[in-house]
Amino acid sequence: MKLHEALHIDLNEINREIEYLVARDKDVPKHSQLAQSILELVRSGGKRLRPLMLIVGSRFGPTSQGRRMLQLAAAAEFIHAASLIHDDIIDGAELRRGDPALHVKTGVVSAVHIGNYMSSRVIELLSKYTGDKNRYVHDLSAVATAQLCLGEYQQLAHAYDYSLTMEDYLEKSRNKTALLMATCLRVGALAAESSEEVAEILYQFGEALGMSFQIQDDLLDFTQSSEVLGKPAGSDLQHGQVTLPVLFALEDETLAPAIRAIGPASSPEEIAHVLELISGSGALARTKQCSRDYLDKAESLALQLSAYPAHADLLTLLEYFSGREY
Amino acid sequence: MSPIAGIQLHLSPAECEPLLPALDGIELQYDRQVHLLGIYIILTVAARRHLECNLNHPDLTRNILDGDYLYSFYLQFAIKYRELDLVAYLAPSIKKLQIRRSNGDFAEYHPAAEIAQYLLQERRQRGRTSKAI
Repeated sequence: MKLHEALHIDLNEINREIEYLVARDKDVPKHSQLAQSILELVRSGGKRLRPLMLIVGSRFGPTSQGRRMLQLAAAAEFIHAASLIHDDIIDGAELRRGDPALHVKTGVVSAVHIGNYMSSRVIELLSKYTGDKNRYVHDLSAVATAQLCLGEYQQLAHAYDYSLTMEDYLEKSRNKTALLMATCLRVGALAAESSEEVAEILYQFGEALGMSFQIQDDLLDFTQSSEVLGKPAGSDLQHGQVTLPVLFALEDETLAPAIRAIGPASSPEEIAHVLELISGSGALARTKQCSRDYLDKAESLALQLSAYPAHADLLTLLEYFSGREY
Repeated sequence: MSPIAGIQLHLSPAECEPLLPALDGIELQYDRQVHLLGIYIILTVAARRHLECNLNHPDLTRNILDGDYLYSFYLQFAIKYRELDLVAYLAPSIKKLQIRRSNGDFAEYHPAAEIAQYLLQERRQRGRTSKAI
């Protein structure tokens, strides 16, 4: 069963709302490159994890706000998609979900501004929520987006940096992935008028889930084929991203020299050899355990909300994240 | 701003001049003038960084990230200094700027005129409110 089905969320409603963000924007001509390329991107798939998390968060409040919640969910996906467009340019990635990346189709300058359009469209939408009691909605564009950038700055600064510490790695992962997920749960809860206390527990739950997600993502670079990933396997290593499996493998003195030798000029054969070395070591099992530890932390946070019927949805999210293979 | 971003927000006095008539023409507290100037500088530099995102630019990555970060920081700054109404006022024009640029129209962005219009509108509304009282 798919995640949205297990959560009893109509994904078509969310997808429609995401498309409306551009299709119903009177400032965007229907057949423009901008409209078409965004619609192609959002129709190319994606798990819609962030909108789903926002809807789950909203189930912890007393009020259900139908359309408004769907708009917030769509805004969360737009922020995520805009960051993917810019990430693909930064990483030089030519594929996204198996199709040519947006910048490959439109050129870099247009793609940068199409991503910007998506972010500014969200700000335009959210700026209708005025007043102090609605300030939390701006966490999506103001705080979570800034953290995404900080995660990217950190990744950039530590490319091929094999002296990266575990703390640096965790902070980067928190910024790059976990905090947007955490913010989605929190914003959903507050939009449905939950208490601050509940929203804070959900935020911490989302953060732990997001950390587990990013660590599993690091693992997939070693365990999945290019076909499944929709991008070349081993591309993290090739681009100098010192992920958790690499950090653990560096502790093995027999592996460290080969890993440290990987640089921007390394050949595909050298990358494949090091991928094999790391995969054959205990680094992947330790990485899996670290991901599991974050899921356990999330589970104990979920337990604090067991009085709410929507507690079952947190367990569904946990089950999905623990069984993720792509 | 976060030191991780390492951005130097540099705009020369001459480049800030377009905003001065808007700030001088209306009675504003000094602190608010400083905050509005801050918003003007952040938006101008953000738009400029994203304008320098050609494929062959040596600082392509840096320019993308700086622009992204500055747009987020603009919101944080505006929220901190309670200028969310200005954010709502400027949002459509910032969005239209991105649409134009995605179509290859790379004219420079000058938010001064719109900040001035916003301040005038705000003054008119306050005038109406005080008359009603």
